[in-house]
Amino acid sequence: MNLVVPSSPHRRPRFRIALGAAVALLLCLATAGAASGGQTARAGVASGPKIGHVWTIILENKSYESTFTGLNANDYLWKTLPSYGALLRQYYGTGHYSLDNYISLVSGQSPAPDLQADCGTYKNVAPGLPAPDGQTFASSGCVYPKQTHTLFDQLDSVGASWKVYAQDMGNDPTREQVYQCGRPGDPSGAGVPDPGSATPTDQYVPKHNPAPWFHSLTDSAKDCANVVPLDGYPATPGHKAIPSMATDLQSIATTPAFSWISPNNCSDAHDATCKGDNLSGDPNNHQGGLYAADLFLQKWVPQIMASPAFQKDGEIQVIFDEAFPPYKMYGNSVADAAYAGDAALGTDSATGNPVQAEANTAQSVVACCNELPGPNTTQPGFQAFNQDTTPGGGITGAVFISRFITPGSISDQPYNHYSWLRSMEDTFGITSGGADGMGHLGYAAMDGLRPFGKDIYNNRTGRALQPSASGSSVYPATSLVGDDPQPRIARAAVPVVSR
Amino acid sequence: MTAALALTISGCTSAPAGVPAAPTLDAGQVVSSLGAVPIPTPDTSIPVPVASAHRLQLVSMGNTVRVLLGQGVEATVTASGPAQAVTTPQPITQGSRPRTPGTIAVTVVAGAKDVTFRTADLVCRDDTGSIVPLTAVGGATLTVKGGTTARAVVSGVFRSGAAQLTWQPGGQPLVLWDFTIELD
Repeated sequence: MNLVVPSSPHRRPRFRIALGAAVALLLCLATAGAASGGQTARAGVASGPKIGHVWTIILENKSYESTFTGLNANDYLWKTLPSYGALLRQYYGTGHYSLDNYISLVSGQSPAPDLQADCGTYKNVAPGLPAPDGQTFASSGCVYPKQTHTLFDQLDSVGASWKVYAQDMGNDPTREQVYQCGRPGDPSGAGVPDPGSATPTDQYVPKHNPAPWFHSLTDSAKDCANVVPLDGYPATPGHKAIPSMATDLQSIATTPAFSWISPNNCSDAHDATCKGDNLSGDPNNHQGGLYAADLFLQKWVPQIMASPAFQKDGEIQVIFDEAFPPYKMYGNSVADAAYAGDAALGTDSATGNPVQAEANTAQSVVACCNELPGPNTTQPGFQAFNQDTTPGGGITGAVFISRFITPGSISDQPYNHYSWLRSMEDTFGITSGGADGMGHLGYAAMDGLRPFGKDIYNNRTGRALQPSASGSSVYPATSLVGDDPQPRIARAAVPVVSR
Repeated sequence: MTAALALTISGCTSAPAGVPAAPTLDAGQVVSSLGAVPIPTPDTSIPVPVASAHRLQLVSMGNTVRVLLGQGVEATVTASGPAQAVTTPQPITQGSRPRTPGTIAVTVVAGAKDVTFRTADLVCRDDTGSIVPLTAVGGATLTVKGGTTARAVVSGVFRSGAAQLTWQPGGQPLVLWDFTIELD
């Protein structure tokens, strides 16, 4: 135990109180971890610390190199935040383009054609029949039938509170329905147009909100009441005012156990040039990409971390939906990928398409963790970026922060969106149902899939630690689930001095 | 101590799976026992970079630079944009190259002495190396009185998603703003 003994004798009684409480609390945390492990004693299940609150912030379309190597104007994300938590250097998306990743994250469903195309028309999945491994046949459409469950349904089943906070949702009622999970309209029959891009006054896009794609949520007024605008919403006839996330964070009682945060199409780094506000405070500044995402994170991460719920037992996760070339800029644009310098590469003999940046985009279409394509496509990566073989969504990286994570640590264990789902199911004690009968939906139930392990939850006592440069400890990948990681420690963790 | 211990223990033994642990253990007790998790507050004290004939500054679009122009003349200059005239994606067809118009605003705050700002001293080059011709929107030459602020606007048509704007009064590059622009 790394308690700092105060030098002043008159402070000793206070130290003893703190020591007593700390001992009890450590026992408590260890007990909770052991209980969790015993309760879920099955292969591939983490017996992690008792995290009680999670905030998942999802950003858009960046390769690991774009985000975490210092190439872009995003110091807060690539440099500051990893020094307060863990950098996951091998975190993978599961497909292309955006929407199928959101679906995989919250339901374990694999990519399907209309999802991969980001669902230009909001309509029901067809045929929507059950497929093996908890999958759903979805040869067309994007809104899953009621029997396709999500993490949110699972949280309901164990009495854990949750909310989806979507920035700008409801700004333009002609584009999305704020009281119906942010859906763009009725998906029955031929469906309705699904706005795929931002406007100057409404930068919300449904494809970056995981809720409107499941009838298990959209058909429930109770569930849709949990899908709210990030900054709140004024009262309207028949509806009370919706509090903002900032308001919810003020007490543990109002803070959901699980919070999904979808920034708008500017703040999530999607748009290279924002159609509207980028939180810079300068109405003439429309710079988007990771520059805008950094402004969003600078605004919200400190607020979340200052909340009682985070300080007690919280975890912030900053993830990306999919990797995306190019690697040198903060923008997102398919056209940007058509770098003129690659014209000399010629055309692909198999497809006739320009080879374009094939050599440079391979890392954005790779997969990990034995990802399966599923019943609806052979190419989860949608043959994006003119690649022929696209098994996944590429390497994006991620950053997690918690008192149970050592600041400045790096994990090289591969994880993907299905790992994320399995981890959240385990974190919140979901132990029944799903594709394996043990609480894991769809491909989150895949044999051998690892939830986040000791390489990430590497400060199991929860003692607060001072920030440290990223790479202070590095956890190499291990070959077997049960293997203890053997970290390389360059700089020992230093506890926060008790005041 | 007894009270604190009792609270802690009672809190940790009654947490059912799936429910935040220890309902009677509040954040204050955790913090007092295990310490407060440090918060990565953004550093707002980052100094404004200073550019001069001897020190070119490379910054992101939207950033402000203090520029020493010689003979005691200085200005604080901010470039922002590009603002785009289009709000809907343009279709990209095989063999065609997308393009988009955009405007960039440059705000000049003069120091104690007057500053003359010419839009002709702005040069934009995209990442293919091509010059993006800029046209002044409004006055092409601004005389900014000491202690006052003026704003110049230029427009161009961009054919590549990444570019740089250089301010080079008298042919001397002083500040280079790097930016991206949405083409599709």
